[in-house]
Amino acid sequence: MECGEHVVGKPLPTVWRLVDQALIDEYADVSGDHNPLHTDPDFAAGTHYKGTIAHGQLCFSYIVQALLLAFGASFAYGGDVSVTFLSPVRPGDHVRASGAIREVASTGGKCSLRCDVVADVDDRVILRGEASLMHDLP
Amino acid sequence: MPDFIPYRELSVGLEFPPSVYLVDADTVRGYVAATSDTVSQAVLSEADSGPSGVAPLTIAALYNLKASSAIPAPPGGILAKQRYRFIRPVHVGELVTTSLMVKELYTRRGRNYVVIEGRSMDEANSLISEVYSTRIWAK
Repeated sequence: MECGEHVVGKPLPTVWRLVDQALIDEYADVSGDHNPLHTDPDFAAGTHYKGTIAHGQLCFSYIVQALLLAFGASFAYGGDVSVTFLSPVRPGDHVRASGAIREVASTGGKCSLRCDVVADVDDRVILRGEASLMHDLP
Repeated sequence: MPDFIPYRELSVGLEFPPSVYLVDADTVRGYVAATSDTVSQAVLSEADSGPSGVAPLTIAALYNLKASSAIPAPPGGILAKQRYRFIRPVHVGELVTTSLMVKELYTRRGRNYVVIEGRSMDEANSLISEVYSTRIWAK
């Protein structure tokens, strides 16, 4: 099944990002989310995670970047993305965000698209989910 | 009085006062840097006819986080799931009003989960994004 350039199975562009403690702290500052699990190594060491972890929303933003690379501004107007966070991202991790088109349909001069999205660190899945959007036919 | 809301005090349908957030240029710059976002502004600016700079879509996280300060969570909780629906991008200088409501509460494997809906509106009271966040509420 295809719709314009969009074909089931076509991968989304891959976004690679290095997450370090400085970036986590920067995200905490700009977001105001100073949960000590993210920013306080002593506190985080005493938790189930045994150390600081990145904000889920930071890693989520990489998925949205991959969707924008794939579909351009179409995704900004009605795009929908949901993810489940499965594993923590720690300082020093290289996150790879990507996905693939799962369903395409043509309706009224537009492509209706559903995608699987995933982010991993060294093949350890950190989040997984799906996205949907309508995209103008070329 | 604790500086966070215990899980037992939350209830489905509980609403919180709307929070107003100014999308200013410094915040957008800081957000772009913190998310290593080399993509959003290039992609969105190309198609954008707004009066000022366009912000990354996921900056919606910031106004939802500000609004969620009305529901302070115990330290140590984490985000389990998240869903965003984007109606349109926002621009530098816009005032965004976000309202939060508790949509669902459940316990699984001894952990307490809270699903919060955030609806963000522009100054014309038009919806610009919806966010559903499922948080594990620390004990």
